[in-house]
Amino acid sequence: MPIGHSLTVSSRAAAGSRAEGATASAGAASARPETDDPGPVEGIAESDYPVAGAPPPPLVPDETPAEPEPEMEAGPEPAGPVAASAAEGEPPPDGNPEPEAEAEAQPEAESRSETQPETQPEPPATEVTDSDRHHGDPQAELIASLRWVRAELGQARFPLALPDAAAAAERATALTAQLDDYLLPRLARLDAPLLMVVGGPTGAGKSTLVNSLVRAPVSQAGVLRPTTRAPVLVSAPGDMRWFLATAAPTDPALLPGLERTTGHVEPGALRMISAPGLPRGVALLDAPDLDSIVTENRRLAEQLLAAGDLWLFVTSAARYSDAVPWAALRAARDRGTRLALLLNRVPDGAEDEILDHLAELLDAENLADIQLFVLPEATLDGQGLLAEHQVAPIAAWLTELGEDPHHRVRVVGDTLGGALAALRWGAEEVADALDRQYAAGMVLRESVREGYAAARFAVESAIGNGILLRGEVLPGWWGFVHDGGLDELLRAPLTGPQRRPRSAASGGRLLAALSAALATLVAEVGAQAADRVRAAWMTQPAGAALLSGTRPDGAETRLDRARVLAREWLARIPDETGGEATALLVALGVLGGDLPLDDRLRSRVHGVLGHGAVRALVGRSRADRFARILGLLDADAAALTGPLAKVDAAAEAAHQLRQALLAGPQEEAA
Amino acid sequence: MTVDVALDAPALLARVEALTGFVLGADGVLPAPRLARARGLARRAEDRLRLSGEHTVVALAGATGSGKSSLFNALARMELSTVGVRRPTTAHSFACVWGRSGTPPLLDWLDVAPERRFTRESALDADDEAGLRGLVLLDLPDFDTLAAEHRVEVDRMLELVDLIVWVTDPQKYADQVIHDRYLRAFHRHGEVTLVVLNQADRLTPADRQRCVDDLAGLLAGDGLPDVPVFAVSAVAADPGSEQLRAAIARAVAGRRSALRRLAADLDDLAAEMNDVMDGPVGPNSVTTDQVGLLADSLAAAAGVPAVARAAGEAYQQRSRWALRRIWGVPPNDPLAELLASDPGAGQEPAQRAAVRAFTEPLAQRLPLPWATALTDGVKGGLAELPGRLRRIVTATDVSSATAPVWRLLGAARWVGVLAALAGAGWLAVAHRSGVTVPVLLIAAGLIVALAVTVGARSLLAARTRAARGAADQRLREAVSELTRSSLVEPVREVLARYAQARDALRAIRG
Repeated sequence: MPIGHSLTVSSRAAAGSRAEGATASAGAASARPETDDPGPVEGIAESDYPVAGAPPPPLVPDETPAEPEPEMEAGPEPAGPVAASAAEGEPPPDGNPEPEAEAEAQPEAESRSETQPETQPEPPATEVTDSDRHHGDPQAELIASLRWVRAELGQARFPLALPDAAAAAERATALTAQLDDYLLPRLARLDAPLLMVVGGPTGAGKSTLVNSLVRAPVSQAGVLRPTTRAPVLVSAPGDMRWFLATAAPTDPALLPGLERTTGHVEPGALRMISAPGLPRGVALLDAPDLDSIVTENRRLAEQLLAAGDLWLFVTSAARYSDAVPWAALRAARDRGTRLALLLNRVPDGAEDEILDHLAELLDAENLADIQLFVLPEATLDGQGLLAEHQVAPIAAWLTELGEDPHHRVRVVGDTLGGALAALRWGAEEVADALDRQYAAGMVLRESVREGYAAARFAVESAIGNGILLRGEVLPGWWGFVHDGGLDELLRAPLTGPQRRPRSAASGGRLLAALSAALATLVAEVGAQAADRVRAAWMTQPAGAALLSGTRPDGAETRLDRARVLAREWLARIPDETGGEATALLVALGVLGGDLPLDDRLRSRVHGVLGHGAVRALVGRSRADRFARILGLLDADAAALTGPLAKVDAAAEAAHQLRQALLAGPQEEAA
Repeated sequence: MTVDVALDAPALLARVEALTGFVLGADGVLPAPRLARARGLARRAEDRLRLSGEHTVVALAGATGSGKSSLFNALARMELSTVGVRRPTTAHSFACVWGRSGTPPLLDWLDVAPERRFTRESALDADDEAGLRGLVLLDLPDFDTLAAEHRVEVDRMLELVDLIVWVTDPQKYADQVIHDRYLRAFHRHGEVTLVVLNQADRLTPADRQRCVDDLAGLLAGDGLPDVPVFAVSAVAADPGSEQLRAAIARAVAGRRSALRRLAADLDDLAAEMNDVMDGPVGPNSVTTDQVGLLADSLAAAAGVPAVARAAGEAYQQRSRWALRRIWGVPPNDPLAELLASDPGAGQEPAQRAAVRAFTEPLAQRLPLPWATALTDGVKGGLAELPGRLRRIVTATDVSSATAPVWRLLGAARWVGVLAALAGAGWLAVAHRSGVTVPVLLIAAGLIVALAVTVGARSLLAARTRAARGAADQRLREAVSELTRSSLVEPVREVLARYAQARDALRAIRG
């Protein structure tokens, strides 16, 4: 078996940890609708006793091939209990017929239950090593690790608009889809018939070719573009069961997300047709076109192409150098899919020139050894079919592919091997993109941190320099000093009942002016920090995207918040001191900084402020003021960094994805 | 859709001029790529209007294998362009001109190499090509193959030509690339768009009609519901080809395609610029109240009230000194003391807050790029503000001179006091000669001294207030002047440019 030969196990920890993780996810599994196959629940029960020595259940009875093949022996061999239960006890997203819905429904709970055990992988690993060694089944382990990779890929999110984010998200989706649609189902039934996707641009004659190969009008062909709106899967009658949807999550069908219909045409559903004209061992999938203006067609076509063991790329003389299908061809090549090319509708006499050019193009794309067929522009018979002798080479090729099991398995092995390598490569890129998300998020966070640290420093140094008593407040301060208010304040008893001072009015005005100045300072410093962060973010693509279309928030609301802050802080001082005069003194102590007074008066004020009780009050009030300003600035900073919370998990997600990739069987160092 | 009103050349020229005005107004405000598009259109429009109006440039654009070159040959009724099976075929544009005069500059502008230019109408042709006289037919490369440089050439040409004939075929008419990338982008150009379903001979007549209908439906989906579709066979004579020829002949004879094309381009641009234009705001949107409030806030932050108060106090002290001692000045000066303590120190936050309160309400009425330009516009003034305010406060002469009246009054008081003392002495040493004169002397002296004392008090209060007021006014005037020149003017300038661009955009809409 090519998989077993070329891919081998490197880490046993994964299987063990997954068995443990399965227990945690039992809740999620049993919460699923009753109609589901009870399979997963049994799997969980077994996974609780990984080395219980119970007779290992046959992996999947259906999988025992009808016609045993020598190279398949490793596959159907009963798997060790651990590996089997690990595979079965998996949280069910992979086996669910609707992977998208599933992934959305329980991504969080599932991810944690799966990934947590990773942090202490040693105990389960040692526990299972013994049985693992005896019953180790690389194939089951591969499936288990692929499911882990799939779960991690399904959770990969790229919220920051980095240049590579859209591509990475697309790649993660594509890899997830390929795992669901092809890799996992295919690995579970290596002996299924080959699935050949017939794909290509619109109007190249895909449906006509399929019809002609099976000698019956099974797929709708026509002059109106695009034609094949519902994909058609044609197989020999005996092979059909392989492609029908299954409910068992342990035994996923190809393309589990596609509904199957027989007979009537339903957009988006896979029409199953059994055609006696087709040799056994090969099924044809007539895909929608790759380049039409119907977006669903294109998407579906790409999905189907990723699910095939082979791709028969059908193009025409008018189309063979179109850019769009070549991009798909390149993607298939990178994915490791076996390719064949049919150049259709070649006008008389043009064959040599076109073939020369096509060979050049193929050579340039590293596709020189591709299987190539050529059909001339031909009139169709009454049923809309090409003449039998024209498609005979292709039919012969199909028969040859299908009838020889060795050949078939080699084809599957090639494609699977290529797909696994491409998966690893692509998933690495996804992990790198996740790391970049995290790094970009950290850069943005850092500018917020810097901006608001500067704001805190600016507030404290401004207050320390005594700017609140200067500028606009200075005349009021002077008035207070000259009216004898300060003198009175310094003489007033610091505790006990206080007389209402003579200068209460100017003292009150001063306090109000101080409060307003504090509010202005806090609001402006906050606004400046926000400006600075915006400017820094605009230089980063992710930051610019987060800010695009937004404006700096209103100075008016900012000032209102600062006013409330100043008022609430001031209101707290009399509570603590019990007297208005002392409150003003404390406020001067906290906000005055370097007082604009002559040296004699200043030292007098400092003397009073340094007095034990007042000093304690000033200290408490200063701490209160500091905390309030800090709280306000932190709230502003948190509003900015809020959207970045989504990327905090990206580094961990990248790590988990890499772990999942390492957990699977590695390619042997040949 | 273009209205016919815009279709005489002067009106179009006015719209193009408005576009130039728009570019000037928006320069440095809008992102460079958007502006570059507008600038490019202005240049292109001017060029095209300057070049031959007798000629209509028609481009055949399409996918590879759709038969552009065959159609080119069919329309020229000559084998000019090579028709190949190898895809893609033509990498360069070919031109065929019906009627000779005036075309070389046009073809130079289109950048068609001389060896790829053909002239159709010659003496040999008699008059059967007269209907197309004035046609410049271009055969463009394909836009859908692996050869990316072809797309570049196509995109360049499609910017310049007057009328576009989209050539497609039964295999490719529903391709994403022609619809999503091209036809949709030209959905305002319906009047200069023709669509050809080539190779129609490969379909049965019934299929041909279904195909044409299907294509028309797709075109309607692209936003081009009224565009005619011609089912044509380039290799065989058929009615579709004649209809296409007639449609092109009509466009050539009408000589309106160039104008229509530019009008549609201007419509396109105006629609695209919609999001950077909003309500009517102009330099007059800045009210005197707003400016006054800003100046007041800045003056307060700079310590102007404190300085004025100190100036008044200084005046009061000096006047009192003069009143009492007649000679000399008091040893301490409150104004100098205050200025030495720098009353506006560290008030940058208050100044910034005042400027923010001024610009923000205006910025909020502007679309984002202009709002940014507005706040950027005051940045320079804001940076210089603390230093300039300090200079105003320290360098403006706010001290009122001590008026001589105080010394005179002081002297008068001393005279009164001395007179009273003299009267008292007189009374004491010489009472025989009568008491009338000394008593009068005492009374007069006391009255004078008392009157001076009482009168000086209220006068001093009034003059002190006046001195303080004068200082305040002088400082505020200087701050207002600074506010206007370094903050309000830049804001007005941005608003003026916004208004200019906004008016221009309305004019571009025609």
